[in-house]
Amino acid sequence: MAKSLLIYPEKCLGCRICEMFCSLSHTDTCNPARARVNILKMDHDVHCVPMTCQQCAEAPCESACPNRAIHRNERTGAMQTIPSLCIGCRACLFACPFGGTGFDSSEKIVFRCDLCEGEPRCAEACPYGAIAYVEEDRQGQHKKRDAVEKFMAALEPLRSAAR
Amino acid sequence: MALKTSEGLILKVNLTDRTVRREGTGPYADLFVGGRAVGSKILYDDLRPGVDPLGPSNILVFNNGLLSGTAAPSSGRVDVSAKSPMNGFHGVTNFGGFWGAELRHAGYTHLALSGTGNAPVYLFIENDHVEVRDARHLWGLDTYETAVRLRRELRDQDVQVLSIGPAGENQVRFAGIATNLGNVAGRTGMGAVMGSKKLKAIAVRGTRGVDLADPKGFLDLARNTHKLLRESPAFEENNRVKPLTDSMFNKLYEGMLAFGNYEDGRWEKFSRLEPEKFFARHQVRRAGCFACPMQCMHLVDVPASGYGIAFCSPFMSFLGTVWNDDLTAMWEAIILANRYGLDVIETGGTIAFLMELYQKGVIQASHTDGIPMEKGNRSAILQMIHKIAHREGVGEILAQGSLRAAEAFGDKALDSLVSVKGHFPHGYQFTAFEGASLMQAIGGADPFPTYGTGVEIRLSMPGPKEKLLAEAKALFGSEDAYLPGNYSLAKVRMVIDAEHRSRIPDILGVCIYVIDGYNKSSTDYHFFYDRLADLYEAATGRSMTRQGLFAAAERLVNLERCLDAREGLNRKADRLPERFFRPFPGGVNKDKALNMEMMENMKDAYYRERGWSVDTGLPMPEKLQALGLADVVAPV
Repeated sequence: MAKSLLIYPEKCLGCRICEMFCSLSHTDTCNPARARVNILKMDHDVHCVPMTCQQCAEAPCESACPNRAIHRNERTGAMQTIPSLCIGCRACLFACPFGGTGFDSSEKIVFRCDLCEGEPRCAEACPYGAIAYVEEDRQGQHKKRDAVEKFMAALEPLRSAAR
Repeated sequence: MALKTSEGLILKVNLTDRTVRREGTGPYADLFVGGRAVGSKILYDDLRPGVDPLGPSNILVFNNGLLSGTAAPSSGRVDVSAKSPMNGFHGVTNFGGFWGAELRHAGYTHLALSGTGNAPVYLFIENDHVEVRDARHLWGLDTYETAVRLRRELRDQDVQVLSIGPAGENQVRFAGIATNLGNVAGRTGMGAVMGSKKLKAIAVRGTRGVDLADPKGFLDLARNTHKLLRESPAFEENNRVKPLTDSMFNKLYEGMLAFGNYEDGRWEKFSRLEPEKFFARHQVRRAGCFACPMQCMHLVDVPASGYGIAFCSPFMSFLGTVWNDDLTAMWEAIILANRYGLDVIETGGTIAFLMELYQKGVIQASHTDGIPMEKGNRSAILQMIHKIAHREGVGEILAQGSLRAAEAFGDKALDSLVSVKGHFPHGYQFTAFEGASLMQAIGGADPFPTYGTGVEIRLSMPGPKEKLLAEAKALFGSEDAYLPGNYSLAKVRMVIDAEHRSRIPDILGVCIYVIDGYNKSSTDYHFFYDRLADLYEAATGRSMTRQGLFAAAERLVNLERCLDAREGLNRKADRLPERFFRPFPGGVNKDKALNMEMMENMKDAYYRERGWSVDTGLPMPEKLQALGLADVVAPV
């Protein structure tokens, strides 16, 4: 079963360690502009949301590509671009509803998350568990467990009173 | 300009004629490595001695290190330095957030500003594009409003903004510089220097990134270093168990903090505060700086006062220092100070000073525009913050710093003044800790003494001691190095080591708190410096060792001492307030006080150990020679 990235915006503290490890492992530089994951800071930087490719089942980037340069990696499930076929037109970038595709101005080529061949650096690097790499059919379960943990913590005073 | 991995790039902007120059840091690298050390050398070379700190000839330098803006942990700290308007000596303060990394991603390790904009301006930096722009429409806005307005105007929410508030504009001598989130580079008045240059803000956007000499090696090292940090007890303590501020309130306060204007070592009401409830109710999340796994600050939002972030100093400055036991009022004061752009430590200290003078009858309400400065008076605290920032009424006097204010209030006021080199000291019980006191006497507002000498405080409290004492013996020859209650040579050596340890992170662009936190829990006291040397090597391709970093730190201490010597500093300035030599009336350390004669002897030993003259307290020519500084720094 394919895994993909599961984002918990409420756990993100905005440190941007994920961006650093992503760009370093993909481009040999520390450059957020070339990272496949970026933390978007909202409401004057109070709220932080990591954003990356959603690895859509029906991927608009794939449909938009005029040169059939984008296809799914069967092993990892990641949408990937074949560099030799990419003409740098950025149609995929316009088509993506999430900003999951970026444009590398030094290489004149589009890029998106490749799940690091199945070992995503961002998930490994995040100290707070805001990015997890989880089987797609268990992602709902993970979110449920998280919600239940919060619920149980809220109930704790009542439970200890009952004891 | 193509960026090299082996060196940083200095961006020099003259605000008067709006010229821009770029220079590599290569010529500095062998002796000074980078960061604050290069910044101090820029000041040594470019700043004429004797200039008015609030005139156009002062130079304001922002210093990134060669690890800044990389995957190295905590690579978002920036030093900012200039001649300080508080005392005319070298001023330096360090801030976090995301601005420094953005500047590095734009290609620069240093930004050196000279001249004056004459009319209000802001500096816009986007990679190669550097422009001095009109800021008349921003003048008068607070630091929060400035960041919001600039981001909207530039149509880029990712722009990182540093700005001054009304305090900096009005050249309050202890005004600071604020980041987007409202954390302030507070100490030594760097915001006043910015205000004197009519520079309202520095907006930076960088998409060039940082190239590395050995990217694969750097990736491995950075991964391992982050892993080490995350598996350390320090990480556990910070991130999983309790926020830092809890430990300040609950565990340490009684043997560590000084209350009011250094009036007591204990304050009953402080122990009854309920910070847990405050944070449970108002904390949005923890917060911190670029690429840092520790995230040691608190992002708090209190209705009516608003959101902001704070570390430990602001909490103490607007609680124990000003005898306030209302956490909501504390938050209101913090937000006000952050919006106006004031140093909280100096602001709290100035108010505490007024409160003591009022209680002693040295001043009356008539001296403070009709406001009675009773201890803990909430309204008085808030009104004074406003008056200081706007130099309104008594604020005109207070804005000059407590030393000048005391002179204005008369001789009796001078008896109550607590000041080290013109700065209100850190809020610790120096009466009981000789090493911290020596560090405070020499360093003034910098470095934070407990980063080096916190062991004294820990050893004065219950808890395991064996490991620390064995370490003291192994490193400095005697357990006395760490134990409070002595003035030994071992302790002097520990202080010198601590001064060096605390400057290495500033040289590389990382955070002392993270490094020190890690070292504390390590079996090898200096362990983390090997890691940093390796990271530096992989980043730059220049070889580096732990010893090399310590040598650069020692050069930096000597260079900055020479910088101060040009401005007239000598041994006489290394003086502690009289109050440190009298015991506090309460608290666990109430029987303890520093001994003046022993302290002077300890200073003799310190100067000798450093190779400085015992008479002048300044580096001897032979010492400068030995450090390789003979040709770059004039003997004093």
